Amino acid sequence: MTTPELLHTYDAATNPKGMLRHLTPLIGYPGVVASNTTLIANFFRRDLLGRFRGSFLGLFWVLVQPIFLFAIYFMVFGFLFAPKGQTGAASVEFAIYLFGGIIAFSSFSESTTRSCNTVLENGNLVKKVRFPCELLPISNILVALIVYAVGAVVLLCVGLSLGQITVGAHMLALPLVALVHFTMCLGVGLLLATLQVLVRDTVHLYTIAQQAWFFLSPVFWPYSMIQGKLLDYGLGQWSWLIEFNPLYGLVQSHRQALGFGHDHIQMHRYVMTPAGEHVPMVDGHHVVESLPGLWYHLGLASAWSLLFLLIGYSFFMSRKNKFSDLV
Amino acid sequence: MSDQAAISVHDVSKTYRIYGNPFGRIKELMPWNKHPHHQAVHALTGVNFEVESGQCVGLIGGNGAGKSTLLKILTGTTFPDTGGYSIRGNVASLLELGAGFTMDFTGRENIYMNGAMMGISHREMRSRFDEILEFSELHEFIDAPLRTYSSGMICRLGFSVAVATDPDVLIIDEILSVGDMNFQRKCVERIYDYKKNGKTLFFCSHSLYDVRQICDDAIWLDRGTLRMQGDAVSVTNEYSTLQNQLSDDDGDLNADPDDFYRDQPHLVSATLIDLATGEPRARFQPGEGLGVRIHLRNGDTPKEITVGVAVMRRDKLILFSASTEMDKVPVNIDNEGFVTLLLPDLRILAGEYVLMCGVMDRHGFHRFHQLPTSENLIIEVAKEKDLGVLLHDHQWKVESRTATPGEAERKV
Repeated sequence: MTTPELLHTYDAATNPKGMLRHLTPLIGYPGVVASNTTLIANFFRRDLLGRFRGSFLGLFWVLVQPIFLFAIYFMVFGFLFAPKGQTGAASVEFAIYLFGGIIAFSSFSESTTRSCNTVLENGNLVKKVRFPCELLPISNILVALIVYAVGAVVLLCVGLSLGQITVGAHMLALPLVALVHFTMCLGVGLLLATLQVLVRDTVHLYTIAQQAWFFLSPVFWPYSMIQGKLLDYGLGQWSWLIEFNPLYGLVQSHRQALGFGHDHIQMHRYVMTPAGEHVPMVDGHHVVESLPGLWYHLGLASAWSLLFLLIGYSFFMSRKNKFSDLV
Repeated sequence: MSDQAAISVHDVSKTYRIYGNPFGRIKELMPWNKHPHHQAVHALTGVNFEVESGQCVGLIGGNGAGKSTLLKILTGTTFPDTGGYSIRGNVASLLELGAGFTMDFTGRENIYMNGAMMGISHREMRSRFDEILEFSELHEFIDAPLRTYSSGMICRLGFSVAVATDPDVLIIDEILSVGDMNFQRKCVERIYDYKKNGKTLFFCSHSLYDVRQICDDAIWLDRGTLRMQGDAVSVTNEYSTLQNQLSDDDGDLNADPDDFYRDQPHLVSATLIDLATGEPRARFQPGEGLGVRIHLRNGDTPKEITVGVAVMRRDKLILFSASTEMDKVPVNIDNEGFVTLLLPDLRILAGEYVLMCGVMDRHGFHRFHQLPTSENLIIEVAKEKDLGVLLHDHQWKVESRTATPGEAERKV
């Protein structure tokens, strides 16, 4: 009989310490994901089925939830809180704008909140079975992406039928946006999952922080509105801070890739003069400002998502060996 | 470190820190912190050992001795603070009943899921699926959710999957005890096959009997340190001697054959007889001939069995034991019969002894039933000056260093 090769070795003396040492395996991470697709598929199925287990409608809820949510926004913002003097299609505009932001943001917030507890919930696996546990947050993100996709389809159906959304080449960017979204969720998810193992208060703190994050992101408001507010207070030079939010680029690129542009909703009370100054808008002025396009926002989102992945992954991997003792 | 060792563990220590409250952890991180805010539990301290390929090693020790920690380290789910280990080949481990299983999935889905966790592709698992199903005997339940399974069924599924992946090293933590008798026997047969193929088994159990029967070697962990490593029989003997000194509890010495045993091989009676006359008798002198006549029934489905007898002092020290399996005497009894152990020349000194008889499966592993003889053996004083329990063959040799060497030999 041939001697099997040495497959499992560990030595405390040579085991790398510190976060930076754990950055290099990031190159191999896509490989780990690719070679464990069966495992990820199983986790995904477990999470998806587990969420609706025992309910009568089961997976149908994935479909029902976004439809009802949209119907509510449609009624509330299309009729109840419709902008003054606007009726019909124009009033629906804001409902669609809002819904596009909400599906993107809630997909992010749901997957990251669930990622907080993913290591703890799978504690028995982490303790008793040797497997690449850095794959654990992925299934949550995939489930949230499914929910997002259903919402996006609802949005597209309504938007196209009301003529609010244009079909175009920008829709080809949707898979790319989804990939950036996935990377961002994974980075933040890995970071939060590790923090939650070390400090159990993380998830509670994060839930509160998310409420603030929701209103700091361009979900409810268009860029022009916040910019206008800042100009009101004479803080126009700080408007770049809006874009500093990691979710700014992501939410905007989701919306733009869906075909509901940045330019649709404009609450301009200021216009930019050819000299580059903002002056209050009066009747007869035309908005000359052209807002950045999809690629700008997507680039912004990619940069943030890669940064989060680097931090989240190296933090996770540097603490991974301790997980079974701490969960 | 030898090149052939399947498992090599060097200087492994592991300390768990128990914090009274979560702030202790944070306080310790502060640079001005002077004293520790945790209680250190030394699970393992400086453990060294090697296991050759093809060996079956039993891990024994009391509660909190570090057995589970050691198995977790070898599985690769927890890591030592100092030292390290290396394992040759792929490892499969069964650390807990149903670990790695999802209760909402069906048995079939769990088989694939478990394979995926061990890095085995769906296609490869499919080729082994029939083997797993056959071994687990869960045909009619395989498409039912796992939460409807009994613990024994989960155990069967877990063991079947683990052995089907054909690991080079199999790590098992005390879960075989859950399955029913038939399945336990099947597991043991599978383990024997497994050993024959030169695979390594690392096995943790509180049943010294199992360790003695299955394992070649044993490792005794005592409060985190390696107390003893050696052949399974001597290590378990040492261990049980210590345990008996610590507590003299009454085991299942007086188990009665009841209805439960009716369809299994079981003992009807065991009698001490005089070898010369064949008559029952309980009082003997050293040097006389003793017979232990065992009346047994082979149950509804006769099978090859093993019969064993152990001579024990009252404090459970085993003076002597014999089994038909060890002596390679086949016992094939159709329905009912007698097996007699002949001890033509009693070599035991004065005292009262318990003779425990047992009937086991043909490997001598699984014990169907045991029964002490109807009367305890009483050896009467032979010579007043005899001291001890054994009358051993012996000789003396005396060497003197004077000019005329006087040598004397006297046979007793």
